[in-house]
Amino acid sequence: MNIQRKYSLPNCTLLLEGLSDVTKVAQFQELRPELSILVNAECYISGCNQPLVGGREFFESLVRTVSAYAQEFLSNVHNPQAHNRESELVELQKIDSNRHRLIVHLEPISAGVQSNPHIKHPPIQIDLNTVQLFDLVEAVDQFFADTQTLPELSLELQPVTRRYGNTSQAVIRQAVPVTLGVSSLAVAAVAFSLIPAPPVRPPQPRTEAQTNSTAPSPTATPLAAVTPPPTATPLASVTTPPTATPNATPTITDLETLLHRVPEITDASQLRALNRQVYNQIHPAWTSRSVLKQDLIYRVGVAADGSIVGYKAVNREANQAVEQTPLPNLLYNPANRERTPNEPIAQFRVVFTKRGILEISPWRGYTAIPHVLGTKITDAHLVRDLNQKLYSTIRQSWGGKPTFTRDLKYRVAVNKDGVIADYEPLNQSAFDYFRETPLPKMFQSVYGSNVAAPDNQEPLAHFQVVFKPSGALEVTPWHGYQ
Amino acid sequence: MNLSASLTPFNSPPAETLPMILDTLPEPAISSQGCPRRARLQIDLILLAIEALELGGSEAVLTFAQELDLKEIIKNRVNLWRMRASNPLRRAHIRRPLSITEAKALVVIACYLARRLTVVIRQLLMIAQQMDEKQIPLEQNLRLSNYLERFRAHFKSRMNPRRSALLALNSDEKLNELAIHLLGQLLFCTGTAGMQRLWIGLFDGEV
Repeated sequence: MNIQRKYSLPNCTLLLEGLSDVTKVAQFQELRPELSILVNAECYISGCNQPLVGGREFFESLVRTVSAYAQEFLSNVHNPQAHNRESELVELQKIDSNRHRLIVHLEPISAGVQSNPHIKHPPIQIDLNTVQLFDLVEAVDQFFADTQTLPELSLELQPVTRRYGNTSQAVIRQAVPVTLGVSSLAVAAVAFSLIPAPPVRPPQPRTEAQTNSTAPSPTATPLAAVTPPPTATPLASVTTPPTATPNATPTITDLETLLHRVPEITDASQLRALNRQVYNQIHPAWTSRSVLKQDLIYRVGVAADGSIVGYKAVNREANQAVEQTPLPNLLYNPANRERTPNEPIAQFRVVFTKRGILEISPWRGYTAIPHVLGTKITDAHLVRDLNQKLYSTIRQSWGGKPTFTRDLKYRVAVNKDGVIADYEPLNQSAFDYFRETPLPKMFQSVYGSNVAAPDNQEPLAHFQVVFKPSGALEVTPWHGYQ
Repeated sequence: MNLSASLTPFNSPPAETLPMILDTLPEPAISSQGCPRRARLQIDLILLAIEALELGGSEAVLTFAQELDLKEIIKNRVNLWRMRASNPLRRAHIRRPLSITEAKALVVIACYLARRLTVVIRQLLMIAQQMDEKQIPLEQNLRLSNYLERFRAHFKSRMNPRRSALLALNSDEKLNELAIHLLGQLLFCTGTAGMQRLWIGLFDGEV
């Protein structure tokens, strides 16, 4: 009986074909049959037109090498198993900390196979980035974890022995003399190897006379959604192992289904806060903004902690072009942590416009005027002082000629000492031109970064701050959202 | 069928009271009692990268210690800080060993935290890769620069710049490279066998 097994990751798919041992099948007929004789192994890597193909020798070499190189990547200690040119068909070389060269010698050393079409071909070289490398490692690890496929091959991890640790290559060569002792040597090795070599861009290997072997394409766009080329023959019984892949599509992505089962968040103030969180997730992740031909509209479900738990295309273009939005990547992955069942969900309308603008609003609008959450400073004197203080702080650091043509409106919160605690753009131009205002810098100088401040329990005073194209500045006490 | 195989032997050592989750990580064949220097350094750096990715990352370590039943090993904040201060490059380095059990607990927690951050880690690495290809400085991306900034700030405030191993890490650029490299290592921690791989790698060159 012919059996196929597939281990599929975003950038790498491992496809194994083989047979099961007849005696064992008879015993456990109802179970997933064991693939015990490997006939053919194919490894599809994103950006490569053709898979790496080989038999058992190739496959064993691939999993040994990939496993050893993963260990080297994690420990920064040279692992001889990953670079064994003499006895392995597959080797991996580090180019820099984000580039790894997979080399496959398809000419079997013990050339027992007749009519091997690959004989005398130059080795195939594929440059992987770290994410691609990880997907390859993960496909291999999922294979190892699958006890019904070549069970005699399993993950066996061993630390590299001291002998190898000492006589290693580039990583340790820069380090101190061996006489300092192994442990300090290793520390230095880490510290040095962590500093990647200067970014010498490796010459992009052009397809070098490889007629029917894999053409390497090192310039693969890593974000492109990767589907293995459809050269695979129709699969008779493709079974994927039950282990979750990091980016696997969660079980329920259909928003309708989800909404039938859980309550909906409708509180205006909470919606407003979530609206910001969703914007802050999608906005930076939407990188390819100029490719849309049509506005894409989605209905997006969001849990109370801001994670995106589902989405549904509203217009047809949105359905087809979902891979051009960051939504699939941002989707909360239930494999990582269990969510409480029946968690309430808020719905938003998310529009990716063809002009590259992101618009997010509550799906049903606000049922009431939202309020800012949290305790507030109410003392009128203090608020007035803070108002002046905020005005002069911003005024001092805002100069130059504005390039925007419309008012930029923000809500800015400060604590009782006048230190900025939060700011929120209120109109579209405020989103677009926030870099021109001193707000991000002020925020950054306090919190060391520009992401939202840690949950602040202290009372805050809120103000509306308007930057005018004329260069005028207005700071007024906050009277709520309009 | 030999059913007795699943029974616990009577004369098992007292160590069996340790949480089961740690059994997934094998005992390294090293002679000394505590962890080697490189292991102490690496664990601390991995946790540092997590803290740079996620606000409240060090609180999350304690939360997970509770959830994963590792409270016996990582008791409280001070206890955690002392373990991490066994990293020889820390300003506040404490000459205390990091026991194998403590290291296991930290590795388990780091991997659980990393798994939770899988999506972010992948995205940041892809962004970094694209920026690198287009030769755009990494800081131009808001999310990436947030991570790098936080990492550098954590690193500078906690590591002792006079340690010879750190003399080479004297510029923001080099720290950024270290931060990206750690991001890649975190990605590997999220995998099916990531925890075992990270663990075994800590003893590379030591056995």
